[in-house]
Amino acid sequence: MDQKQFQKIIDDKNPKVPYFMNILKAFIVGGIICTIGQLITFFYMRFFPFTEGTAANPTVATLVFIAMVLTGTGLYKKIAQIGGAGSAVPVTGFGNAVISAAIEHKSEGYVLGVGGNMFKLAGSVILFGVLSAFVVALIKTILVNIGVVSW
Amino acid sequence: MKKSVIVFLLVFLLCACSSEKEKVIFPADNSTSLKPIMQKQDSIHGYKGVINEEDILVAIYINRFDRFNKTKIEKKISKQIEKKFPEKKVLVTGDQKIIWEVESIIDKKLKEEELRKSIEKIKSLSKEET
Amino acid sequence: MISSLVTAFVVGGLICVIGQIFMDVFKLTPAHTLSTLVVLGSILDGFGLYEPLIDFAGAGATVPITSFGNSLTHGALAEAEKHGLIGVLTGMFEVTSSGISAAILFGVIGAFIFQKRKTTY
Repeated sequence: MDQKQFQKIIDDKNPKVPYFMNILKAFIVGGIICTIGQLITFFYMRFFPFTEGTAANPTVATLVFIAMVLTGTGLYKKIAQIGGAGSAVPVTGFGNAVISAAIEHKSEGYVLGVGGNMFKLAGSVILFGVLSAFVVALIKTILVNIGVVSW
Repeated sequence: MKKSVIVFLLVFLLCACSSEKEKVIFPADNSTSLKPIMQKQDSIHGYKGVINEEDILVAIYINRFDRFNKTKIEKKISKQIEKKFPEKKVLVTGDQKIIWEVESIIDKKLKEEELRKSIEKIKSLSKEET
Repeated sequence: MISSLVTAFVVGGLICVIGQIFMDVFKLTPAHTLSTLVVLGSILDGFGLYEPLIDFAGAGATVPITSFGNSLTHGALAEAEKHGLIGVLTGMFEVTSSGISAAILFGVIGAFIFQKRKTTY
């Protein structure tokens, strides 16, 4: 039995990924979360002095708050089973990763448990966010300084 | 199933695009000079303007797919208005919040002093950054 | 107003579809997928393309995690525009994201209120 046959057996044993259904579910669940976000944005713009540009911050915070309630009650896990990336990509998924890790390690204490494990899953997102922001800003500033592009 | 969803979404989008054609300038007697500028813009489907002694404030309804160029459209229109009214401060914006604020000014038919105050409020709102 | 909701739905959904394709087709873990999307958002802002997307889609562009990379890059670029090369450095320490502070705050509150389940994620 060579490598090819072995790979074929593995492929047969593994269930086929239902690409289309997964994508459709991700589209619908992700779309619904963003629509709720848009409704929250409208709410903040209507009743508070926020414009389209500034309403994004309280919207994100509110969504993370909703994610906290859903995570604590175990509902977010059910949404994630249906939505896949549709529930992971919106900021609620980021909130869910942080909050669930915090709840999970509560028993080890607030410093070592909650504080130490909170960013176990979300840490890479922050790392790459900050790193890529730095690199992109650096490259663009250099390009502007040597006159290739403008702001 | 899949097709019907797509058709439904398309119909929904098209219906939503062709709603409300509102073109109002407040107070109305000033409107003649501003109207020709607004009339020839093809990337907006409506506008609401407020004018007093020192400010011109125009809230524009940008077409859905022109919203990608929102800042460019705002700049273009405000330049054209500035040319015509060099002595006034011009603010053109497609921001939903400011559209609502301008609508409420027009609904309440605010006069002089109150009008000036709400225009100041809107201007400081639009200056805020994220 | 309804058209804003529909565009938010479609654009937000499409960004999630990109994430799902990363996960299913390229077999990335969720952490890899999210990191890739954040970097993507950051690069798009470098080309000045993410702000127009926000103008177009509203929450459809601000709610997905890509906007996190965008807001960090945007802060750094705004500072760099003012102060040049040194602004990149100082800008990096000024930018914040409401997503992170909200996640930290509600994470602690959540840990305080809720009890551990078998699995929460």
